Amino acid sequence: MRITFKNLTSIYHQNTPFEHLALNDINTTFEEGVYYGIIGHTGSGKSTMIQTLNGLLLPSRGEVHAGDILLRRKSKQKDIHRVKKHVGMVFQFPEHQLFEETVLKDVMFGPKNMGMDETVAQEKAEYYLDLLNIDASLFQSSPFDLSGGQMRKVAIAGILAMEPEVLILDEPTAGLDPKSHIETMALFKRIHQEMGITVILVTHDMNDVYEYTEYVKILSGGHLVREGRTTDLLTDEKLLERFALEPPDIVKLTHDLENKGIIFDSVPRNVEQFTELYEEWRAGNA
Amino acid sequence: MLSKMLLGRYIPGSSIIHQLDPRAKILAVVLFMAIVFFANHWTGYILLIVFITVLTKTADLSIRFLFNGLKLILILLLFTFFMHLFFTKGGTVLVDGGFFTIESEGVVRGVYITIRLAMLVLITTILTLTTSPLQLTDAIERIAKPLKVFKVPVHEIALMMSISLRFIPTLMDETEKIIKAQSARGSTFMTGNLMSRLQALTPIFIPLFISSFKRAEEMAIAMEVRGYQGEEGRTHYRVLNWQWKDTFALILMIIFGIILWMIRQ
Repeated sequence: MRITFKNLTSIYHQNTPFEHLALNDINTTFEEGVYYGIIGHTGSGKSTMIQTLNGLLLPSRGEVHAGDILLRRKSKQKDIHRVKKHVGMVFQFPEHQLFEETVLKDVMFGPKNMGMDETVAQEKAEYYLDLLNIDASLFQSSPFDLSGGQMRKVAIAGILAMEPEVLILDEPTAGLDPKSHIETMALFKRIHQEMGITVILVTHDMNDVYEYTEYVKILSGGHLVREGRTTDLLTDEKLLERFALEPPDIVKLTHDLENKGIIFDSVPRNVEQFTELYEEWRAGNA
Repeated sequence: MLSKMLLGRYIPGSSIIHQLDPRAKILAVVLFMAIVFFANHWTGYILLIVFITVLTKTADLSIRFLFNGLKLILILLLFTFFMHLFFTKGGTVLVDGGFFTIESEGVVRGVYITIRLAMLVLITTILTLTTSPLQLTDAIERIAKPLKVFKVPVHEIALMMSISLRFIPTLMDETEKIIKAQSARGSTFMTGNLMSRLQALTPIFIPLFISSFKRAEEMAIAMEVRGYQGEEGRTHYRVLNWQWKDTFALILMIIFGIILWMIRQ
């Protein structure tokens, strides 16, 4: 599903002393099946943007086209509900949304709201819980008895089981231990590749953005200031500095090495690629 | 939705009203609550309205904004008005609808009582809009101090108040977040009959309760770790400072009361 923003402006608390312009005249498109990253300093409008993507917030001015659904200032509940079916959202600390008696029931909550019947919802729930490595013996236990990492996985399964075409991830790894961090990010990558869904990652972790996303959009003060290929924008340290963003570690390292005369054929995106390129360089220069 | 709540909200500012000692403000509001009942004639009510308008302007608040806040209790105001309209008898009969009559006394009483209520709500709104919750609880603690003689745990009550006030915005934020998270999962609160709307509240309240209990426990531990033992041996970081302008404000309020009393009929 393709999502387009047309002259989108978003204002909070309109006509009160607390009025705040969060997004200012944004025009952009999220193409189908692409892995996007949205980056920007705190307060740049990232969360407003993603909440507008799935109808949680309606634009104050302008339009959102999600597939054939049009969202505007005064859209109907029915349209908003339809968008939510196609655009899934994993909030920051999604484990805070768990509420059911059992893990299985909690995961089935979303699919059932989207109109799937009991048996289909259960099938989906079991499938995605399994995909996230939640053991079948835990299906009937209370979600509140699980560990933090497991709770997070159950909550994520609850979104995936709705089978959205677009998946929005808001700081999905905040507070996770390094191992779960890698596992979770690898899982999203796999889902993106195998199921061809659009993934939109919002995070402060520039290393993740650099390693996993294909395209990035940079927000600053409510404006969309840059969009383009991740490999072009995130390797440009000067550009990132202008918007108070930290370059990814591996970019910094590669640039430092360049200054010392160690120049690779390409810019690596993760540790494995870096090691490989370094081995190559060594073999050629030693 | 939640952002429209004006009650208990504080707007920082530097007006003279903002700068008054919170104790003076609370005492003035209490005085005003009594003064409101002095008015028994239209001149009195007009004076009340003028007084509140001047007060609003002095506090640098916009009148329109304040009236938007009144919308919350609009139903209560309308209810009061219509109760008087239909059930207070006396004076000339204005409308005779057979099974009901509207009489002039009812109209007059209805308008007066509604103005009274609105004034009471407006002045307390001005109080909370210009006084931070922390200042308010500090002031209440100081004003209630004499009650200690009767073994009233004033400090503990004030602490409970400030903790609750402190967590209102946090809980609001949290509620909003959970509502969003659940509605992203397709939960609908705006549609369906009463029963299904009530059921839609479970996914909001359970997570909210759980996080509140967790937060309360964490907070209790954090306080204990930092050696909190109640009031014993504590000094105040914020010291309230009563100045001549606070006395002056109270005197003004009393003079206003006397004027209203004098024009009674």
